[in-house]
Amino acid sequence: MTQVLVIDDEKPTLSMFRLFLAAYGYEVFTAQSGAEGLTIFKAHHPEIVFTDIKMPGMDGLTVLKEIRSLDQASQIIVITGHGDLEKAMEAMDLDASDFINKPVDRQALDAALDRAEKRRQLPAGMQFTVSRKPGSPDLFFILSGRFTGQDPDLLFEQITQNKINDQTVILDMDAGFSINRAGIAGLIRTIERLRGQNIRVVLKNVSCNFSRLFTMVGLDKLAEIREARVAD
Amino acid sequence: MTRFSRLTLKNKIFISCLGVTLLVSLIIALFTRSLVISSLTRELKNRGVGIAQSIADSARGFILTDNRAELTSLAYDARYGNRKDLVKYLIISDNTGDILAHTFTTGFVGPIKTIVKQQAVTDLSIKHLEVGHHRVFHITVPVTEGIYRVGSIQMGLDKQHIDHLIANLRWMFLSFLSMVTLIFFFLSHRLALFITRPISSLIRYTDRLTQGDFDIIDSPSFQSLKQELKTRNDEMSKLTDSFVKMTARLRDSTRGLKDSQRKYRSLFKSGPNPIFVVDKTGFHILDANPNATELFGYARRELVKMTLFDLGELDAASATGKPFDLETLVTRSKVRFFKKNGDPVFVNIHASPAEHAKENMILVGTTDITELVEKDSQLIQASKMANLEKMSAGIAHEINQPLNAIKMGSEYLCLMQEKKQAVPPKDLNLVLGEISSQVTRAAEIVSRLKTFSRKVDFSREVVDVNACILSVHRIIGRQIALQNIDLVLDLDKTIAPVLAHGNRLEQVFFNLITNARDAINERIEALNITDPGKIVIKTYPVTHLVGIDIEDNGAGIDPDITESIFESFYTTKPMGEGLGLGLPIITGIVKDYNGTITVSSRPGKGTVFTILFPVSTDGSLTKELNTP
Repeated sequence: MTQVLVIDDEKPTLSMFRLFLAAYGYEVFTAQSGAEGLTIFKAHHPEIVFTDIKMPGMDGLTVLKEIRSLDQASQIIVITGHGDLEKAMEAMDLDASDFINKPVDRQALDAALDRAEKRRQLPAGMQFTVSRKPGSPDLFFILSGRFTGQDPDLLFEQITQNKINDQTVILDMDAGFSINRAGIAGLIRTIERLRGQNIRVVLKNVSCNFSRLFTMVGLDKLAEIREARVAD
Repeated sequence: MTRFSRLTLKNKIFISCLGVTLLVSLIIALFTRSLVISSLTRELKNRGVGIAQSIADSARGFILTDNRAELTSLAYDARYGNRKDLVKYLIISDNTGDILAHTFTTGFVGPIKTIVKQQAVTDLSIKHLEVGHHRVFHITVPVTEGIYRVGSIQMGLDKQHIDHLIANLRWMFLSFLSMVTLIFFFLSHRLALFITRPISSLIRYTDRLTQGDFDIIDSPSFQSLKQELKTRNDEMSKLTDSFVKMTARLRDSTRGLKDSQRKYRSLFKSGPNPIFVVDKTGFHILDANPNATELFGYARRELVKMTLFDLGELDAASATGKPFDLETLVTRSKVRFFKKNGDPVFVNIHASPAEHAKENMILVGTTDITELVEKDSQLIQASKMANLEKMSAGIAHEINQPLNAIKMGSEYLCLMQEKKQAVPPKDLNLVLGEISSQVTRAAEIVSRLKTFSRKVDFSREVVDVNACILSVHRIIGRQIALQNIDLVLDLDKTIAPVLAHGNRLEQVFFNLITNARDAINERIEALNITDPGKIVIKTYPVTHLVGIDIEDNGAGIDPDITESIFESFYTTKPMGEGLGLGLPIITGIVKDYNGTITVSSRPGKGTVFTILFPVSTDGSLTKELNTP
């Protein structure tokens, strides 16, 4: 049984998480503060951790740092206030697996859990890779691993080495794909360069939480964003 | 005497003169009567004696010779001679008393014969006799030859004749006196008129003067009076001169007075501010200028039936400062008055005592500051909103908490429904209970915000400072806690209430707490001193005051700028982050409730803001005040 730890200073939120996750068949631990959460984490090493960012005492980002230093493989999903882009970005920089907005809706929770489950199967700390989907007539690339500030050139070259003009490029983000602040900036730059060559970009299989992040930074105006469906 | 003193001066002079004249005449008449009548009577008697003696001389020889015929002719000569009116009868007798001759033609009348017979005619005598119907003086003169007495002459003097003479004399005298009196009557009348006429003229003119007709001294009638009196050059003329001088001076000063009155009247009427004249005792409005009637919408005749206190929230000992004493200029600010139609008007009041016609009055000048007060409250409101905006992220977070629980609870129920799984009753109860209580929680946050952000109305209320602090704590306490700042409340439950607006006090504490929070964050970020933040709010009683300390361990304030922080538009924050109106507005609010705000700070260590409010003087609260 997969173990999930939820850290939030709000007792009602914890109760609801407990009901939800239990219904999904997880074994649930809850903690009302960062410190308590760390103690439980050390005791049980749960595979998935939800942590609120704004908490009195130890805040969510500190908890994230502490857990990362203890365990690279655990999936840490931060819970941010609605529209709190800055905190989300900070969490991504600290290698959070995902983030969900408060109030938490089911779709976002499902997506986050789904992604976490998939990433759990993959080795931790994967480098960014881009590969063309074999046998596809379209320019269909699969992005995987952690996309950081060093990777945009690699992506651009991979796409443009195929002599393409006035076409659509589909970038598929698989479960292993993650991104940080510099990565987002690089991705925006890359897409702008491609557009400069009249290449339309479609981002496919974007987790619904990333989709929100991309929308907030304005990526939706540069590329078409297709959200991943949990059922897939 | 009283009747006399009531008479006019003219009649007094007249009656006095006349009285004196009559008195003198009366004395003269009485004196003359006694003197003249007695001397005339004596003179006539002497004359009678003289006649008798001359007859005696003539008759001597005839008596001796007993020549009765000669004696009779002698007697008749005397009786009917040039003294016939005086001599009534004449009798010549010898020394034995026998009658030798007489003038009685119809016999002796009465006792004459007896008298003559009995008479001892040795001496001259005069007797009063009644002879027939006549009263006479009977004179007896002896006739002597050598030392011998030979006979006597007896003669009756007609007393009626003498009386007639005296009556004539008296009548003449009375006529003369009457004439003199009559002349004096006219003279005294003229004298009285002469003295009193100019005086009554002056009285008439003075009456005209009292009616304010000063031009009377230039009128031709007065000038002619003046000329007329000038020729006299007596006291009356001097009096008139003085009168003219006095009137001229009076006219000049009255004109000056009228000019200045006109000047002040026009100031009063056209002054830009409403002015009231009220009496000292009851503050009844005696007068109001047109601006007052215009501003308040009452007609002047309506205002004069009111007292100043009827106009609005003002009383003799209003809560602000000194009571309305009358010795000095008194000012009141932001007093709420009401127009006739009920609209409020805020005024500043300047009252100064004035004395007019021995009546103590107060001149009350008012300045309409309604617009200013409205702007003021808009500014305070804007500042509050700016503060709230600063806290909006935190507030959003706080509202998000209950929303999250509700959302998740309801989504869980949907999930179970979709999965067609039964929700265990325990869980169902938990979810439903939680949804309900979280809705309440969200609603409470919203209502607190609504209360906090609403505009205050003007009337002050009795406010518990502790309750205000607790209310602010409910709004931002959690956010402060989320920033790892320890917000400690050290509230003294025994402090007395103050007269203020709870909402505005909340704004003050809200602002000071957020300032404290900013100061702590500044210390952590700029000075890199990462001690845990702490804000302590303490309330405590001071004599007749309530004290509130808001202490932080933030960055502190540079001593050089401590004075400046209360000035408008002074800010240490980067451009665009603050207008520098926070503390000035707080100071304005505190001062509005007659409070003070002071600051003491140690850079790098922290700051304490101390606010002192006077205890509300509301009677119902004295009990609480007295409890130790």
